[in-house]
Amino acid sequence: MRIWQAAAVFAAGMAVMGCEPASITEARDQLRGGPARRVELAVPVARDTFAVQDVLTDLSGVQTTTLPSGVLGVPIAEDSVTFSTGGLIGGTVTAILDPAVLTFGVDATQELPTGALDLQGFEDAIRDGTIHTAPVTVAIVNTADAPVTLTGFTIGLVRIDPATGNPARDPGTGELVYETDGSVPIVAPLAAPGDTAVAVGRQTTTTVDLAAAPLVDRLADLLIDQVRTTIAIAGTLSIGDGTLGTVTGADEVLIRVAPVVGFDLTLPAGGVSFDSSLVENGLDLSADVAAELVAFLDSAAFDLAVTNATPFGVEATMAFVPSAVTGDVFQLPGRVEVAPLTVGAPSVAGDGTVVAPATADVAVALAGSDLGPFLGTEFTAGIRLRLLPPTGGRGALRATDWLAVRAGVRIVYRTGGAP
Amino acid sequence: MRRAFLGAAVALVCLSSPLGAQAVPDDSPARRVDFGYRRTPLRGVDPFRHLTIHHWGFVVSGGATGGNNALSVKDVRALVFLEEQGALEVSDVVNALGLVPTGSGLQADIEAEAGASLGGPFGRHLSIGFTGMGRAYGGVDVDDAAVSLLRDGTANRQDFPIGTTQGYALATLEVGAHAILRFGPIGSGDGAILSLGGGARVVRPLFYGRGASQLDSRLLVSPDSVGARVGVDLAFTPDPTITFDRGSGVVGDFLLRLDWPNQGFALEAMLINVGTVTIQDVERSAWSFDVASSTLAEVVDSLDADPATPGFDLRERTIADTTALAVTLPRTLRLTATAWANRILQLDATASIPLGGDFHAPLAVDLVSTWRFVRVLPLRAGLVFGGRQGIGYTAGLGIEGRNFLFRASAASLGGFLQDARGAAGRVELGFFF
Repeated sequence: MRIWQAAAVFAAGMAVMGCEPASITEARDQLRGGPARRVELAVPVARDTFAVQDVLTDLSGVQTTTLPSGVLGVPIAEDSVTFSTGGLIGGTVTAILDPAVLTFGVDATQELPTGALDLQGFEDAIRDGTIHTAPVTVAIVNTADAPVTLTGFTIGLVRIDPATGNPARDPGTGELVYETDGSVPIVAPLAAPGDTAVAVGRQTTTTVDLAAAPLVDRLADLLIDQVRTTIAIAGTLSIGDGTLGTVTGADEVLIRVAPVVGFDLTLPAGGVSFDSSLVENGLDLSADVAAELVAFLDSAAFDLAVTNATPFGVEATMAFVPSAVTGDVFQLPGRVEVAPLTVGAPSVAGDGTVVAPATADVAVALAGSDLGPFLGTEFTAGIRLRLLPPTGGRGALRATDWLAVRAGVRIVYRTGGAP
Repeated sequence: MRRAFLGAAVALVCLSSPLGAQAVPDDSPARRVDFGYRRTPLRGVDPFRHLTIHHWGFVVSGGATGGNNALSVKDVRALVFLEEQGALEVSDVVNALGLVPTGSGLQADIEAEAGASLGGPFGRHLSIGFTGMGRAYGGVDVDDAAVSLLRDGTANRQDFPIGTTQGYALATLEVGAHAILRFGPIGSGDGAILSLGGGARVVRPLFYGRGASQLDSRLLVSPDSVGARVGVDLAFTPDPTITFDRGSGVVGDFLLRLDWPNQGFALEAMLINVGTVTIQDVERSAWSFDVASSTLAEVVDSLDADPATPGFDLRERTIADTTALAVTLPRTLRLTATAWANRILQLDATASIPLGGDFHAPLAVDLVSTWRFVRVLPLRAGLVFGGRQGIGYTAGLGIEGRNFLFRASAASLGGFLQDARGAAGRVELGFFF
């Protein structure tokens, strides 16, 4: 090493000698030597428009379908009821079949399985609301080489009698005990509008589309409340048309029923509330790093500008607690609770469809000391949503409805001002 | 410039009538100090440093100065400590940015030299010296607006022009020949001794590199949008091997000095680095990207994304040409006044005035006191005002003998020792015969 190099090393050593910080705190205080500042940094985070159908499918996992009217719906699992035509006739017959003679009063039931309706958190809205759009597609399959006619057929709902495990029947008459609205049975005629009968040709399938909102509304309520329920189909079945036909012992009339719950609802004036909670990963910071971050951050705020082109408004309240917990987050001590955020419902037409979107600016503000739950390994978020009805109460959610969100974050942090 | 310089010399000569009474007694150490050693060594480049010594000899020397305008030694050590502890957080970096003075941006530079000189007098009136030196200049300027984004936030300002950001480096080898002509005493025995110096250095660049943001580069961060238009002009010698045929240049240095030996008073003006250096085979290129988005996420994603992403335009570095580039070394005028305060204390004031050039430092004034309790063992202490760091402190010691020279000096710039934001050091070792 040459002499000037040695001198340079010596000088550098002299300069830095003794300035090794004794601790991380001392080192950080050293870097805070600048003037004390509260610095605000505002940046846009997201700007997007969400189609309602995508939100329901992608975020909530609800499998939706679009009804011909454009309204979104959730299918109830298809089920079927069978009438054995061969059994009614008493074996295999090939003859001139006279429907005036071969007429039978029939009824049959089929219990719907648990989970036939999967609403992924929208149960409360459907249960507390009144459904206006609920199409039921009925496919009637005739396997016999003879036409059949279904006259005065109805579709109703009959609960399973817990005592017997069978569909409830009147002990005196043996008739099925239908769900009622007051004293009026909730049934839907199985025929095209204006008709009372459905004719099904030889070995063919006929489809009938029904509008059966009250029936599906009740069915959805029973399924949501997990009440064992059957679809009950009853009416008069006639076989033949006065010409040669064949009915074998294996022939049957199979009626497949596929209801759809439409998101065309009248909500109660106070809206419908439902809670959910979810466990999410936090930033996974060590305790000292988290403490440093909390000391550094003065506050953080999310600014949301929402344009709501769905027929419903939303009020959201959120609470957060560190770590994964069960139970009502809103009741836990030490929770960080965010003031309710409200996005009002837009104006709607008489059929519940959106006329003009509503806009709202909302902000979620957290003090630096409130950021604790997000800094650990995981946190639990409790979300209390209240779906708000539009004026008039009825809202029809269409596949083309959308929600636009412009989100920004404002971080205020402290620098400088060493103690 | 040269005409003005000569004009000033003539004016000073005309004014060089005998000054007041003799300030330094004949028997004082000051009076017996070798005439050449009365010229206090300056910080930085000084082509006449050893030529003023009145003996033939050989001197090797080396020195460096460097610093920044924001972080002290303690600050840097704190950053290193946190990094070593694995505890360096974003908040620490932001706090460090808070140390950058508002309005000036982050600046750092370094200048270093090492080499040897050989020279001596031919009689009383002429000295000639030859030098061979290696020099390096480097620095970084970060536009204050770029620092301001994190230091000051976006509450009051959303547009951040960053067009003055640059980094540069130049390494050279040079050989030089300088001469000093001395006249006097003029008028009487107490009259002034006029020294006129001049010389030239042949400079051979070894490496050159410069990257600078284009003037219209800017960042835009508002609550509604994020945008950046950044263009960088690059110019550098791409061949990393050391070669001596990468261009050349001749720069001139000039000296005018008036000494009143009996009064212990002197005035000096020195102009250095007059001329340019042409660097061959400099590859000039440009790189830029434009991005404008309504979301930060899109900007971040786009940095990794297909440049065809809408709203994002990343252009590959495009080479414009390979050409010869003229670089002006930091042209500096140094004005010095020297006086003996008493029999052991000499005072010097030097103003280093930048006159342009590519790597120039801001105006600085050095005040140096030289204490000669023993004639050949000067102790030096001083203050520096200006430059990039503000107030600084200098110290040095030496052995300035007839046959032997040793000097060591150091400077603590912008603060004292641990609070310094810059440092300088220099060592000289010479033998005379």
